[in-house]
Amino acid sequence: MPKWPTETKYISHSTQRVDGAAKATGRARYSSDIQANNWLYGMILRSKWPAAKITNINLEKALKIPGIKAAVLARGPSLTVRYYGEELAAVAGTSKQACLDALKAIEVTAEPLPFVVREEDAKKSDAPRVWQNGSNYNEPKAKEKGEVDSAFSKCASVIEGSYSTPIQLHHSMETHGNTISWTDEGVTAWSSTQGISSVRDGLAGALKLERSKVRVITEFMGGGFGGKFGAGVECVLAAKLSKEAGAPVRLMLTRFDESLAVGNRPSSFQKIKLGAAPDGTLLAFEMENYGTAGIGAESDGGGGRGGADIPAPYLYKIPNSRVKQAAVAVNAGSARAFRAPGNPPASFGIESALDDLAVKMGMDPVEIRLKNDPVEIRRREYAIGVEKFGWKEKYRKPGSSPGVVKTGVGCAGGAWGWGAGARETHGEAQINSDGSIEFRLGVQDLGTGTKTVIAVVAAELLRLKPEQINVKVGDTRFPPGPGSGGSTTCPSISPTVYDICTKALAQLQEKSGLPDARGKHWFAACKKIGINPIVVHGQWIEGLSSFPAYGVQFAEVAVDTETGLVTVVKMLGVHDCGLIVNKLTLESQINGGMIMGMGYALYEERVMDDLSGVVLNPNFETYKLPGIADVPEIEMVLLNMPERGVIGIGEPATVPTAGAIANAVANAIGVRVSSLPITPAKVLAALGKIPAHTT
Amino acid sequence: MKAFQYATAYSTESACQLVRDNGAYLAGGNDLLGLMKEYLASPGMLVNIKALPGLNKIEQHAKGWNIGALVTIAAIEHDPHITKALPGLREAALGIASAQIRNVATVGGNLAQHSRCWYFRHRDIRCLKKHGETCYARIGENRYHSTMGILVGTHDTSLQRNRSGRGTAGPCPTDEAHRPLPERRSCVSRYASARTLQKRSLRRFLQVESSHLLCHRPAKLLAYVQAVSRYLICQGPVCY
Repeated sequence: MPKWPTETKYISHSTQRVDGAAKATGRARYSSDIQANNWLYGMILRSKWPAAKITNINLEKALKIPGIKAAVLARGPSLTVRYYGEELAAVAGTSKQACLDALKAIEVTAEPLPFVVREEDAKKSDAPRVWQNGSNYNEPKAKEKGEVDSAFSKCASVIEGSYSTPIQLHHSMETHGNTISWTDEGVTAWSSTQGISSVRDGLAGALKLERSKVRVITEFMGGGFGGKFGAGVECVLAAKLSKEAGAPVRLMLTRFDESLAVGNRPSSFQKIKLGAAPDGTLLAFEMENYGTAGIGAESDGGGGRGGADIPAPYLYKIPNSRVKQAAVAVNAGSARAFRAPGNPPASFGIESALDDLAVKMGMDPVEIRLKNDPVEIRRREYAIGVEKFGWKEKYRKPGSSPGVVKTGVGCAGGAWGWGAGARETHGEAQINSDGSIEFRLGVQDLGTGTKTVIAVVAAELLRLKPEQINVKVGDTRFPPGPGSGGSTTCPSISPTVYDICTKALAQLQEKSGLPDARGKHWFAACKKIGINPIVVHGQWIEGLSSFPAYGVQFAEVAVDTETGLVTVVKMLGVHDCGLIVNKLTLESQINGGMIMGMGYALYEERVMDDLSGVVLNPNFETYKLPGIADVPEIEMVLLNMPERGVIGIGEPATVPTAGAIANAVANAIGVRVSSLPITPAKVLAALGKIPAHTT
Repeated sequence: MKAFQYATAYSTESACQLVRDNGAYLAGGNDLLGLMKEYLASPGMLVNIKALPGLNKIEQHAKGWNIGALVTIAAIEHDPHITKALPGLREAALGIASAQIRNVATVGGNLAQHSRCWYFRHRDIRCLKKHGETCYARIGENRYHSTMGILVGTHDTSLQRNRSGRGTAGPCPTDEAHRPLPERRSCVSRYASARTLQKRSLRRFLQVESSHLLCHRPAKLLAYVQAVSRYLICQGPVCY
């Protein structure tokens, strides 16, 4: 059985990113930095209508704009569009301004159709249909166990509440996009993607090319969060433009585009009923939930079913439960996977309800969790958190904080049931006689530190320094690896590198005749290789990685009861991480996850306009994110559990945050704000200071 | 944006002449360049007014303060006398945007910026201010709008939501830029007195007034009120 070393120099310690200097100095080349010969700008024309029958798109005038080299249609000259921002056509030209002028010159003839953008409106039977052949909303399917109704009547305490979460946008710092060059030899795409292989396959399919004729490169990337898998419309359009223009095309989406058509986290409207025995043991649970994943797909029969479901009752094993969920289709861009799909809204809903129940029963929120949480690790995490956070000193009865600015504390838990390694991860290493070594893996580094993880694991096992390990990822010419989603990259590549290193050492020892080629013997051993380098191939092996991951978080907030402004004072995350590979990049993941969760709790919301059907806040002035000045002190306790192997942690970090903050706000002001984001107006409405319908 | 000509003015008179009918005054450019990029404004001539004499001073006199239109927000933030005498104003300045923006943003530009209305700023919505027929902000998604109950009518905004929470007609559905400047000035100065400025609780006072608008950082409004309340626009052209 393979085993991770117990005494380590790099694994579980902190190593700076191997590409940190390149990124900080601008030497790192992202998809939008590729300056292929005679490259052109590409831009997309999008639908101005939330729903319309497009009868004609005339590109002639656009092609006459000076500098414009190509114009292509997205789906042909006549089509039905179902949301504001759906792609119609694209142009390529020598300057951004030429492209902008060309987009304005394209003539589109359209017959606007009725549309609906709000979930509650779309559910009505007389609502305009998003898909002609199916209703927007199908009767929810129920999952039931136990005797729910009779169980509630036996409960000592029951609460009912409605908890809702908004549409959250991914908004990676690097927008979606590609630089694509189509020549006789084939297509090369420098893509901002979480899955180079899926882009290659998708692009080859769309362009009717052999997969071996398509090469995808992602040397550096500025985030994906689930929204960047496969060859998107913008990718295929860039390739078509490149073919038509006979020149490479760089087509990066704008921040505006990012708000419309490249994914989001579905909304949720959770009606929850929760009941417990006198000692706080949960006995009965009922939830009706609906949300929207945008237009979904036609194959869903309307409704975008499945895309908006959340796990329930999530963290708890409740003997009697009934869960009804349905998705509702609206005229808006489709949802995509988004950092721990389904989990942050699930955590927010159940953890809010549980706190409401605890308050009603006069129980401490931590106490009721310890009583009901079936996971031993998470109970341990609560115990650690209570100590570290000073919960017992800080927790007061809800609303009892004195003064105008009230403080409060809250906690919440989370889980992530994926994060295991992918069997199909391959990689290779080339060892040269001068002692240099290069690892090549067909995975991609989203910015999480994948390259650094490879260097750390290899350095540990070969007893070299991480900077001696040359790491190349993000190229479909390398042995293939999985897409980076579900927090699986780290547990996929670490065992793969382990396998490569084991095989490399065996070969090196055999060739050199040295019993140990590691560390100080490395160069001596390599010298004996001769002219031909050693190339070893490795694959993911079992026993070095696992899942799932849990985590709990605590938050302390200050709420100004005159203005409604919520300030997060402190956050604490306690997460189990399996074997920690690199502490520094792990801490970055937790920080980032918690800040993203804070945005979900307090600021972020895609606002649709039901008058015009457009996204009203398609920029960072109006789509609010936590700024650096909003970010509080973040503390974390990371449980290193080498015996469990490597576990992905990118997603668990963002799951409990919103629930913890929402519970802290409720604890501060004594009433529940049950809808995210918790804006000043909602706080004031909850306090009865302004009418509820104004929020 | 559309192509434009560029000139620097060294006197108020030449600035007025240069700007003529389809020009725009350029100081910090934070608002103007955004409007131009979105094709919401397409001036043929940009007149750089940063070289106009005498407009970048912060001066105290017997009755109060004069803050020139070309004084940057950062200058207010860093002025030791302001820090001492008008801590509320400094706090408001500090709350605006980011350091990079404060370094170039001027007080005049802050006051004269166009509506922060989401409908007006949206490229695909033709609202009343863009020669359309409807003011969507009145009936639509106005929860986040930067309007303030007591101050609507002074800021260039199309909607007033009063405390009853119903969208009601604001006094300025037409293009505010056509209003004579003195009226705007007097309008604002009625509301925020010098006394208010000196109170530590100013921020809270103003946030209460704007709280139903969900603006989690109404800093720009703070600066607006505070600056105007001190009769800050003393001289020279500031709007486009």
